[in-house]
Amino acid sequence: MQKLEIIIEAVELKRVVRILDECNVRGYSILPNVIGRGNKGGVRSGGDLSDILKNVLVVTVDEPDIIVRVVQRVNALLTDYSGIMIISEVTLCE
Amino acid sequence: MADLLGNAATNLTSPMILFFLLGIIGAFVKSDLLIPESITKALSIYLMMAIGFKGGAEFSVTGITAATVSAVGATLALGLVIPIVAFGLLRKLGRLDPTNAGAIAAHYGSCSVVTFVTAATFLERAGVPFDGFMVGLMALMESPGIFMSLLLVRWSLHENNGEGKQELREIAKETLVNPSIFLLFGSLLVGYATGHRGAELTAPFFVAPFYGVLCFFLLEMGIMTGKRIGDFKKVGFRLATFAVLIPTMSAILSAFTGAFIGLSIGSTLLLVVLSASASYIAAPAAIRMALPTANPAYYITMSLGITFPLNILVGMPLYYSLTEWCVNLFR
Repeated sequence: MQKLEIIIEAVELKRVVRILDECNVRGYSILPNVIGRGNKGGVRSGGDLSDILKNVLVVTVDEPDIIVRVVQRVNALLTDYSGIMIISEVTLCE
Repeated sequence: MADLLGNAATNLTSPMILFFLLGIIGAFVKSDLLIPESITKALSIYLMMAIGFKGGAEFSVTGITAATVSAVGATLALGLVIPIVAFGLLRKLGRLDPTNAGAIAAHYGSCSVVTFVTAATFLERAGVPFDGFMVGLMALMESPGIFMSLLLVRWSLHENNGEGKQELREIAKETLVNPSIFLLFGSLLVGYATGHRGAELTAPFFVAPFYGVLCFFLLEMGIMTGKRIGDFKKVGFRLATFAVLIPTMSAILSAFTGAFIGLSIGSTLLLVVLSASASYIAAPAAIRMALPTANPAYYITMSLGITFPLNILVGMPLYYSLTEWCVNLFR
């Protein structure tokens, strides 16, 4: 099993969730406010009412072929929006 | 001139404005003053409910008149014309590319709820009446400017493909049901349906704490603004000038429009404030989705870091004098 962590701008959350649903992932968790600094500098931590300066973290665990499909589609969003994806091998205990 | 200075002094010594300044100073001195985000969101919901409800209750007394219809028409026209003029100015004089010009124009075509609430408070303190339906116009003015700007960008870039239309539909859906428009219209309808009896019943919640809550909210807005003012260098002197020029142009245009259609001084001032303010809630979210290549540092800094404090601190008395002059001119 693989774990995919997606950190992306909050305004793109709905699109990411739609991708996850369309790729039929088993499930996902969302952390609605993630504070930090990327490789372009500048701390992103919200600080306005429109949520455009806010990042969210989406976590999903699934089979590698499904994770690849999600990564390919989310990657298209990352050309215009700030974000990063992290993939790791995990063991799922249910 | 004496009136203008008197209004400026009254505005600058009101507790709301002083708390706003306190927030700016807090951000400047890097104080750890922080208001939890959930409280800020709750306060903004309260302010929109209160202003919508009070407006609806007052609207129930006057009902729909010829003035209401002309005010609705004027607001929609201003919402469409302002972004066109702003887009033209930013393209020709500002030499900006269509995407960034459109993104900024969308913010100036839309409006700021907090600036409107502060202006309504300014009028209440000065004892100047205004029409209850003006709250509905605020909700009405949030979206047309955003759509017009997006269309201007698409026309400039010759993007008339199906994908673009699909995206516009998505943005329309998102914008029309955005929480502020939904809540303002909804509260206005509730206030209209329950009238003055409803207003009396809810006065301990919607009237008595209103000014205190506004102080609290403006303190938070001051902190946000203070953090943005430092970004002045990111937008540069030329765009900073536009953050002053566009609201001034919109204020003059709307003051003449309000006076021409026969609105009172109070209602014309609110129309001026709606036109001269820039959105920092609905527009940034819609523009970030629709125009991801536009630079957010430009539009957020211009609307929240320059235009917003300018309107709150010095715009209000200036707009009031302009409004008085225009309304008297057409009488």
